[in-house]
Amino acid sequence: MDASKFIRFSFKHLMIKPVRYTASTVASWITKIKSDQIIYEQYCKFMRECYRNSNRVAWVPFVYPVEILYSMNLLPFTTEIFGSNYARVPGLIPDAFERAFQIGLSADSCSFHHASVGIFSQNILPKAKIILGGTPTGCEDQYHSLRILAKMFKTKYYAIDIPRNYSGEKEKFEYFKNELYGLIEFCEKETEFKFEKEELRKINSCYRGVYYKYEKIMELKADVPAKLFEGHFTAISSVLVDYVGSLERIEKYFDKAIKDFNYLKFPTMGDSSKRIAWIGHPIIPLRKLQYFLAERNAFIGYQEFMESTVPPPSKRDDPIEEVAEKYLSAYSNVPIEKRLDVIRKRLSKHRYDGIVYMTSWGCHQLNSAASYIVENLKEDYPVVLIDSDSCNIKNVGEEQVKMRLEALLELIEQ
Amino acid sequence: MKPISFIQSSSPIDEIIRLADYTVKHIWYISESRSFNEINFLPHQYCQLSKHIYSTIVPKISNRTDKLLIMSHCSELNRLHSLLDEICRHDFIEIPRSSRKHAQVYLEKQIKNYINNDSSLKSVSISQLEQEITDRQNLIKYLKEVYKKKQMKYVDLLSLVHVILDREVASFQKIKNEIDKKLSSSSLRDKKSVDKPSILILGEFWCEEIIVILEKMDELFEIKKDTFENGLGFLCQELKEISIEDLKSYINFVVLNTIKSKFNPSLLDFKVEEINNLIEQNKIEGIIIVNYKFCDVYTFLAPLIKQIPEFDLPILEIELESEGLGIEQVKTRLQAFQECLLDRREA
Repeated sequence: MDASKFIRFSFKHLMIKPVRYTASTVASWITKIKSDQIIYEQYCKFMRECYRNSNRVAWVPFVYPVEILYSMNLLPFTTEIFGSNYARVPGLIPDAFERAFQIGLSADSCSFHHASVGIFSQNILPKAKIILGGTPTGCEDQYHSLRILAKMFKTKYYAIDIPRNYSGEKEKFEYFKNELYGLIEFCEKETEFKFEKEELRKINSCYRGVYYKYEKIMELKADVPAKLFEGHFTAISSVLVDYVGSLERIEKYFDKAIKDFNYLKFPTMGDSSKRIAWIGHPIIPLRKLQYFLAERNAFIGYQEFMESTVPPPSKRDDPIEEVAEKYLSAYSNVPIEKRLDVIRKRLSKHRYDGIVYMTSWGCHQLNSAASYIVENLKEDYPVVLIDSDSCNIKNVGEEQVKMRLEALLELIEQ
Repeated sequence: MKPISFIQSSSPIDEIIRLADYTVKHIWYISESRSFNEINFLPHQYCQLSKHIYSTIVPKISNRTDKLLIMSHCSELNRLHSLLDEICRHDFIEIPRSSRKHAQVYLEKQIKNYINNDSSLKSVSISQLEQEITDRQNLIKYLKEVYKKKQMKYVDLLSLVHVILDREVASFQKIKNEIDKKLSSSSLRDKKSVDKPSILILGEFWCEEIIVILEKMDELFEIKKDTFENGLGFLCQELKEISIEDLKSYINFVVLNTIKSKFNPSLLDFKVEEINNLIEQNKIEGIIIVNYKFCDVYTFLAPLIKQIPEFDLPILEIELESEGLGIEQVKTRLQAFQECLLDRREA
């Protein structure tokens, strides 16, 4: 497929412009590909549900054990998912950053959380009955930013800790399981809802049932230019993180997406295209980078960030133990060597000509692994390391990013 | 020559390591000049303490008998630990961020595993261990008394914390003499000190270069409290006293005094309202927050404090970078903060 065809396709199918910048139009900034429309509908439905039932809303960070909340009939509202959707709407994000600075957030902290705190402080989103924090992806900022919001809105706050001592598996597991019991106890105390073990069992079984479909999508996606700077990242994250508890919702999306891929509703990469694997966050406000690459006959076939949104399921008799095991083995919670193994496994399944590793300003999770992963992958692939920001356009340095990408393409040609 | 154990923690776990015939060195005080820009292994946006460990400690662990123990709740140090596997002999004990009952069990098991993996630690005599802990407590009490009576300069006091932490075995009298010597040589505070605005320092202090800034703070303010693990925070922690009868009770002592002793916003049960007690008890007029670049522990503290209108105290945030410290700029900001507090007092 040539560049102009891809660009035409992208404009026709991907681009929509919201009329008014309100909470609901931000939600509607989800892309309009058929399978993604399901996400758009579900997201809007979910938002409406949150506005109407604030006694059921719990603000949570990204990759959180939301299964437990669903089993209690609570609505887990992921602040970062909303923040990243919001970041894609031109003109809104500088105001959110300005607000975050006024609140006192340091310029060195993660821009995703800057955006989240800035947006949520405007009091335009569904009110939360409880705010739940924690360190589910090893991200300290997740925990701190939600605590600030809890203080700001005088809302009850509870945080859980995910341990990361890689040498004591059994001890770590017991500790985290007890953290989950603490979470249940808090939610039962602060809301009118009770934890249903059988409901959690059903949700876990649903997750196991649909996980293989996600794997299938990852396989199919490898041959389709990724809409890296468009909605796919947030869309899939939303579906997998926010709707993990609903078999109906998640299955509907997965089936449609598989159908889209199978019937070639998407353009596929030709053999002459340069295939790039993108490790790290996408640069959400810089959508035009995909066209920049397409003009040079290069496409992104693998987005590593997706790995952290979908922890592999587990099978145990006790549903809480299942949840504990699932999150402890999540991509972001395993040692860096294991993360490298996951990336290598994905890369081995298809041809990749080059790799981009993008660090994001203030993201310790990404930045700390950068040198180790880059040095190891350099043995087999041309790799460039780009220091940028996934959310705040002021830190992006558009021309430098383009220069680095051009350098990678030159390396590939050599 | 004794093997060295480099430790990143102020936890009393170092007592057993010392008695197992290791020279204990707490990594805060390694003060060689550092060229962090030369480290390609770690990216620019990385924790300064991790860079410090990587550039100064790791090269020191040249022979296989020396070792490094990182005992922390920090995710970044944890990630550094996972990167050091092929580089040097090291251990990591994760301090749980939660202080709930099961967190104690988790820490207890990790410490037990750490001790069991080193035969020299397992064979330490319990009576000697008990004696060392008593000495440690007595030295802390003695130094705390000195601090209460304001008999010593703030920075001299800080340097003595280091002497206690890195002492040799059975050196109680020697250290006490050293404290007395410092006491006699340390210039007493001048009479004007009563007019200085009283401050509370929240943050971390781990590299020696910061001493220049702390000296300036001491000159301008009455430093009532700090939260440094290697400063007044260490001296003023309320230790839980447990009689050490066997290894199990020692581990229990370490666990309780590691989990509960810290003032740290990264801990899940941290309550920002706790600062209020410190403010009221010590009649604090201003707060200085000491941050390190790319460290998240204290970065979010100021916006959190600002959410509580009752505090109503001026806050100065200083962000330090151990390379290219910008000492003069920091001094200017400190002077301006002092003027602000004095104006506020008059108003």
